[in-house]
Amino acid sequence: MAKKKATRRRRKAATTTAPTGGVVIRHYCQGIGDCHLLRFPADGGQDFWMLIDCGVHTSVKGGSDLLDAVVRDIAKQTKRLDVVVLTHEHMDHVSGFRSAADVFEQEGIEVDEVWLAWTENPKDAQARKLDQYKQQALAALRLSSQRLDSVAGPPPHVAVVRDGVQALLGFSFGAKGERVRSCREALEAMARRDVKYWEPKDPPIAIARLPNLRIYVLGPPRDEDWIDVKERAGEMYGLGAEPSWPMAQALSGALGAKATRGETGYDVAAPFAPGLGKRLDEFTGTRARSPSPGVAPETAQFAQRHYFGRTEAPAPVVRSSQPKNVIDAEAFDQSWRRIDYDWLAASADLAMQLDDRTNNTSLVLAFEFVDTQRVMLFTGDAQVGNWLSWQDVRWKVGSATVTGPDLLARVVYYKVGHHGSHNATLKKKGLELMSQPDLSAFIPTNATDAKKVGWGQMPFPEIVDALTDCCDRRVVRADDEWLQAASGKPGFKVPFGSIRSIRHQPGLWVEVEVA
Amino acid sequence: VKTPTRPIARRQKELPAPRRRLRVYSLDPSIATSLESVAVNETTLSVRWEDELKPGPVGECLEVVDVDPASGCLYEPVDLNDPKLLAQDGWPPSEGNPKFHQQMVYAVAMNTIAHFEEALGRRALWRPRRGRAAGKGGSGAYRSYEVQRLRIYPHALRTDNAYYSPDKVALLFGYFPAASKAGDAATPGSMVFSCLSSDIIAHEMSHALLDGMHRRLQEPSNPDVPAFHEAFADIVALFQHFAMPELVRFQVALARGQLSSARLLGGLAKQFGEGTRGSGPLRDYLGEEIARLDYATTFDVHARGAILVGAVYEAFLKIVTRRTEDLIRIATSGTGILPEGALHPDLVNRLAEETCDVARQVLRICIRALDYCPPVDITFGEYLRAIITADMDLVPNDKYFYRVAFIEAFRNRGLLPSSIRTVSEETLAWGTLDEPSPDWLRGLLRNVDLAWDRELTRSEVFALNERNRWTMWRNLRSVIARDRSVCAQLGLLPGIPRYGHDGSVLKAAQPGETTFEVFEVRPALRVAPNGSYRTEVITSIQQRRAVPVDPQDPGAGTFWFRGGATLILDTRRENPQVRYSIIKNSGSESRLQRQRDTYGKTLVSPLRGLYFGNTSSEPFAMIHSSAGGMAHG
Repeated sequence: MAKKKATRRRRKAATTTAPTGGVVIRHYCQGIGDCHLLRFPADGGQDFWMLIDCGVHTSVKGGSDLLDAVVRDIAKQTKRLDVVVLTHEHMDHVSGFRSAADVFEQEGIEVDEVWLAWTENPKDAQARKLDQYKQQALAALRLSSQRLDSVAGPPPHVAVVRDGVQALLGFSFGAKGERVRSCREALEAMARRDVKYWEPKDPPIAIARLPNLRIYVLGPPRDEDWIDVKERAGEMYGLGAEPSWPMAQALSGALGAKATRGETGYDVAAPFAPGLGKRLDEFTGTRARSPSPGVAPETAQFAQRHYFGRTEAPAPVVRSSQPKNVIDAEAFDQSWRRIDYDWLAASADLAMQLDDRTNNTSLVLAFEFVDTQRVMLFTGDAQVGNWLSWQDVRWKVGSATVTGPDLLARVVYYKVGHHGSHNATLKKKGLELMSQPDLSAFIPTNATDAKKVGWGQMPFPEIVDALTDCCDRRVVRADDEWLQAASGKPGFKVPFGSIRSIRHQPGLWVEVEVA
Repeated sequence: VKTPTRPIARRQKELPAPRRRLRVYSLDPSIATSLESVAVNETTLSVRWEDELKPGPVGECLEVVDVDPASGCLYEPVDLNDPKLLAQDGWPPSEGNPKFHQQMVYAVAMNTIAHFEEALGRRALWRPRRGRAAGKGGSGAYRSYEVQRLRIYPHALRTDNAYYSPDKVALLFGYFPAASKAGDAATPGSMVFSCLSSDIIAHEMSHALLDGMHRRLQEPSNPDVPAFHEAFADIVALFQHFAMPELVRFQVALARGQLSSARLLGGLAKQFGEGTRGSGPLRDYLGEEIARLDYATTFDVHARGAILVGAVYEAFLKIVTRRTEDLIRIATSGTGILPEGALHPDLVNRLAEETCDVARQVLRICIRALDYCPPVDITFGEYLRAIITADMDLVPNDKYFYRVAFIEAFRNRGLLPSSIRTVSEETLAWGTLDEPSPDWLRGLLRNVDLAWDRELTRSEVFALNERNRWTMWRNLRSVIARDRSVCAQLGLLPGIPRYGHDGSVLKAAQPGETTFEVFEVRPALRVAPNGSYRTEVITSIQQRRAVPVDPQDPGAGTFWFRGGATLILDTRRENPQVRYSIIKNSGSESRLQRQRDTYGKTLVSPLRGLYFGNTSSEPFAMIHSSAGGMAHG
């Protein structure tokens, strides 16, 4: 990776006027997962507490123990959470509400309100359609993952798909196969009031006890083109266009047809009318020698000679050194050319599509301090489409108009999306618009854990470089080395930029006072 | 009266076997859904008659095996020798009949092979397979086995992808329900078969043929290498359009002679593009998008490849314009301005004829250039040098300025080689050794059997090549043992050890020796300018070194750094010569640095790279996959 030597925009941090108001954010450091506890000092002495997400990726060993400790630590801070925000339905953001539900209860933590994105609202027709897609895709992926698991000695590229799909399913299923939905339901059950669903067209959220704070909902967008958009301009399956989703259907159709062996389970994604072609199990096992009456002998012979059995003639050996009169069974082998599992590689595409779409339903919140106009940005795991949609959002605040780019330009603190991976922090219409000299950032990530799952580039080096550049070193990573020791010190002196002070407890949390 | 002498017994010469005629979709099924173009929906290809063609079709070099594991089905193989099919040029085009699908992939694939074999003047061979011997004697040893037939699976995948698998020496085609918008030719939700697109078949076939010739082009040693693979496959697919005169006539008439607006000819995989992206062909070489690409900053495999294809297509259009100017002038009494309305059918015919002619020649130039490519690590600029050299060899007098057209189109895109000072045919043509007829040349060619006098089957050609490789290897070893300076002339380093597959040293080189490989020995017959035949040998000599990925960090692993030479040898006994030597120096530090910079760069999108890693297995599957870059390839 080429490191950019020249600092693009290293700015001098403002140190003269100490802003009033502010927030204390305790970022928990459980690895690949988000959990942020925000304390807003409120009028009248009673602080306002907000928890954004609480989860860890299924692959992280001992993850649920870690979250138990996290929840106990939350209880030490406050027994009352005024708001719990769930950005989107992925394990690494929500698993704790189920796995540590008993700890929440033992510790007597009360949850007042739960905030979700409009995409999770069961009364919303558009959201229901999206959910249908998610369920269909998940069902197909689960089946194909099981199928991939059952392949003995898979070819290397199939093994790569198997592991990749499994890791991606770790966003949607727990270690014991529990579904991510059950974790969300566990959270909803904790709330004392009805769940609130937010969307960008809502006016900025005002909290009575915090007159100096406005919360803007930047995403997820309503426009389906945006939820869908990926890194290339055109994309395959329009969400709105069809009653079902071809990629999921193609897989589940095939997997389902297999499950009902012998039965004619109707495979809607089959290429030809039913009845064309012979079932493959007519040619394997005992049938290989005595085909059933429905199969022409020539067809059976063809199947053996050109796919299932040995080749007719041995393949000549290239080297001249081959001893004569030796029968080399390998020369008759053609099993290396079979394609029994190659089609399952398509589940990689579906898994990525599902992951992308779910991440794009992230509830994105921009916290604005009214007096200083400074903004903190929590993006969940929003992907390209979600980010792009902020260009067009606008609100009337009093007589003024506030736009998405306007908010971005005022960001002084940024919670980095999707553990710092590629695609979750936009360059031109994202980071480069955040032009405040005081900008600081936190990345909830752990490169070692990510490598264990096989994600070599999480966080993505170019994003880390760009952030370090824009923030003038004020980037805190959950896996930073200095966080591991009690005596550790960050690579900068506080107060610096938007960070007024910083504390940490090794292995558990880092607390930043932002103003 | 004289008795008449008995007439000398004579026999009329047997006519050559007729060709096999097979119906196919001229481009893909979407053409028929528009009233405007339905007339050119179908065409009949005539392919080489194979006596031994079995159901499948399974021929001498192809086997179509219609197994669809996703649907759990095997579709019965088509028997093209069935009299009913022989009598009507095979099955009529149909999307719902798998036997027609088998027929179409076979026909288009045979057609592509024919283009290659005609241009190269020899049999095209597939990549051999490495396997582990089993059974008594030599058990467990790694061996290379010949793969006689490329296998084609028309319905292998349920996805918008199709690829060539070097591991299986097979083409895998996918099918998927279209997601096009209303108004497109592909109906939303209807099934799109990639095996019914002649462009996709030709593209994948070209990957297979190119891989059979230049296996090392699979290693992405610089950003141009994988892009070249894609570009070359697109070039073949694009120019295969012009092998269908009725399609060309139709487009020439429609575009009123302006080929640069003949969309059906200049775009690839229309139905596939509409089915996946919602609009337009998959790659539109007449479109704005590709014209805007910048070589210096474009690294996506397909986009970079498209720059090369764009250059070749531009050269082609310019040549056509030049060659048809006189026709237009004749038809317009010298004004050059065509009247309103439809063109005269005679003029359309003549224009189409000229166009097809040029297309055939350009395609041949592009394929023949493969023999003049460096042994490893090709760049676009070097491909231009190969094109120019090959063409100068064949057509010394460039009457229509084909080569100038190529040079200009490449220069417009900044694709010139970096090592030359001035740009002209002479400087672009490859050079030769300082001493073109060195003493050791006779030694190198000793006992190399070129079999000019024999008609060989594909397997015999393969075996002969193998024998020649080893003969020449032994020859070169003794040449080097006598004179170490030969190494340097061939771009080889002395003292290179033998490596195992994992990059560990198996055996250090003895003093005065080095490890190298004669990668191939290909005979070629060329007509010399004086009309006589020249018997040439094209040989590629290579060596590899295991080089650490990061010199500071020995734990980071190694990659192969290769170098060597392609030699084009005139083998005529009285005066053997090295006509061209195309060197990739094994000791080049700058090239090593470039490869190090390229190494580890993901060829797929970063996100796919994140979740699904980089694996060397099935390279084309990843590159062609939709979520990882442009769909298909």
